[in-house]
Amino acid sequence: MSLSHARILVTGATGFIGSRLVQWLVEVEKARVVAFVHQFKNASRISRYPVEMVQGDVTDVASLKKAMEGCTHVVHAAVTFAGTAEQNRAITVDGARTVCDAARSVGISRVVYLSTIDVYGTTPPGVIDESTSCHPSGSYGQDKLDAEQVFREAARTGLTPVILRLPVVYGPWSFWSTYPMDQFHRGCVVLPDEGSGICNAMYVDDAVQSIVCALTSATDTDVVTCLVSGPDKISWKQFYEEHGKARGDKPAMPRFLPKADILAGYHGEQFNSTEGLLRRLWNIRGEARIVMRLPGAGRILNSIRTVRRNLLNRGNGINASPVAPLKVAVTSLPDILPDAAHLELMASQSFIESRAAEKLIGFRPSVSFAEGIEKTRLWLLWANLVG
Amino acid sequence: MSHSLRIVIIGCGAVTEMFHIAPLLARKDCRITALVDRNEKRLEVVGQLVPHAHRATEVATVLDDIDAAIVAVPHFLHAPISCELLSAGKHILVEKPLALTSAECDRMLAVARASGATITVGHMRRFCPAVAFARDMLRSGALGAISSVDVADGVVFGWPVESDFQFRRDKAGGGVLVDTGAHTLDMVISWFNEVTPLSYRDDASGGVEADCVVELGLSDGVPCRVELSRTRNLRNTAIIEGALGRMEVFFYDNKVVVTFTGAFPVLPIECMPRESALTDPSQWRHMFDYQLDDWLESLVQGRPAMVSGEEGAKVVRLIERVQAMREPLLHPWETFATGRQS
Repeated sequence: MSLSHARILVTGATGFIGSRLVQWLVEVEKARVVAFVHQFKNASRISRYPVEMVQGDVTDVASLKKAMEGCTHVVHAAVTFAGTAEQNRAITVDGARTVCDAARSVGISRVVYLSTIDVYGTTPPGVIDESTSCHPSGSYGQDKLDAEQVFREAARTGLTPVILRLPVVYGPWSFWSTYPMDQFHRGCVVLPDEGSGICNAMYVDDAVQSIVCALTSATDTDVVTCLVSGPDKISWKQFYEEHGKARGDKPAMPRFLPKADILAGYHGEQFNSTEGLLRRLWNIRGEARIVMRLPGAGRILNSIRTVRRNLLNRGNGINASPVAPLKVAVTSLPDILPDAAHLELMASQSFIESRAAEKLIGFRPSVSFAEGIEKTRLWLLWANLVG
Repeated sequence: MSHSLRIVIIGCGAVTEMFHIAPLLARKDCRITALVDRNEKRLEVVGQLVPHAHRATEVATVLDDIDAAIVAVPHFLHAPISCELLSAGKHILVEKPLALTSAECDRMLAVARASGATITVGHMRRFCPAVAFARDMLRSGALGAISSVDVADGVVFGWPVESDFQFRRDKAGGGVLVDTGAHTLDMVISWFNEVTPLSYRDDASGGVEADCVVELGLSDGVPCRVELSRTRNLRNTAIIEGALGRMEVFFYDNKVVVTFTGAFPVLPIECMPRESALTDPSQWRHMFDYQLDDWLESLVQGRPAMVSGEEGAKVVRLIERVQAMREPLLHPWETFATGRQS
């Protein structure tokens, strides 16, 4: 099915997937696009294309209905992490309800909803698919799961929603590509368990292609839920190392710690008062490794150890000068632990297979990790994000 | 003019709220007598800051009670509103760019000449001390013969716009070239006078450009490259190479670093003229303050202001010539899997 006569409303159109989707719909599919924009100041990327921009809020049914007038399809990609948990939930869950109500009222049936693999929570090793049970471990995953349910219920009243559960989507402007570079910039990135966790990565163009398939597919069922992912099985070690190579002659490489040690390291970062910190240190004074991960403390102790080691080595005639090794110690980088919210994801041994997506909406990923990361590196250089 | 100047502000958008109101209220030699905006919500918001000012939605209704006006409306309205004010003999300070086209600029200049009113253009970067210092350095010849100029000017767009006009060619005249680029090109013209466009590439694809590269020729064929962005944080400096030294002008940090070469080892000099860093947008108020000082003093003293209507028109003419040379700016990561290049 061609979209050349379609008029498609995209919520979240200024986001990184939304922006690339808008570009694809306009330039490849020759569709007309209405971009539902929360704040115009974020619209620079999509302003390059002939799109109609309508300002509004996804929880405001009136502004959505107005924007949807004359539209044939909706892609609901709006999400926020900026507010409180309650505010973010309102955007995700109430927003889903509002999108369904507005679409129904103007006679649109096909709505594509961008969900996430976070709805599964912690999963056992092995393949996960649409039959895997969902036990979200965070509010984001729970909100998304609840929003999915809103779309499933809407299917009973005329909508034919397609729910796409997206994995780690990387590429230009992606959090998952700027975040590693920011971490590399701040210090030595630490990954759990030798970095062997499976990174279910998908290049943004594959994500966009899956949305296009969802828009155009003719399905037998009222509602379709698909997991989608990229074509290659890669580890988080590969994911970070390949991003780190964007730094050219000085590629940044992650180092590794057991997941348990990283969890212990979080405790060292959670003090918010000097008194609490000192009390905690006194209580755990035997656990040197925690002290080592306090900001700055590790560097100082490293320096002392290096000097001590060099002084000891002097007598053996090894590494006679204490100056050079000390210099290395002083310039050593602090450890950058993964955010607590990402630790389980980075340690997971679960692997997504997109078989249902191919069967139900005809989507098969086509951008290999090698190709996707090469484009990402070109963008990182251009965007001055390689550090 | 001996009495306190009566000022109207046309347009109650972000620039008015953030930068024009406070310095005007702080002055003794002028008063804001009216605010005009067709958006009544914005009129109410900004009106709270100036409770005594008359509020109106049409310029015509305030003409009798003013001496001068600040025109801070979307670009496509600059010419019609300015001509209405100039015809009534009112002096104007117009936000950049002066107008959408050179034809509109010519019309505005003609109306001003006929009425005797003056046009000043809000190229406020001229009032950045580092930029002014760089101009003096260049005029002094201290860098020797200039061999190249490279300007990178870009930040991720975050201006709190109330409408989409900045993203519409019919209303803004273009994207980053017309917006940030108007300041950048005015700065280059004010430094080198003679500027010839050589090539221009941008990434617009039926909309307005978010990134672009302009190649200019200065006198004696000196190349000048200008890169502009709304999607990236660029270097935000101008690097000027000369036979006797190199100068880097940090226009957001308000800093100039000059490195002289010669018989002695390299001697870098870091200049911090007048103010400290202007990186924080709240610090931009200094430049707006200097601009207002200059404009109001020019009206009181009957002297030309720093940036005249003619100079504003030069920038618009250069933008027009640059746009006429447009070629696509291709981003290699934007090649679609289908083999298409956006």
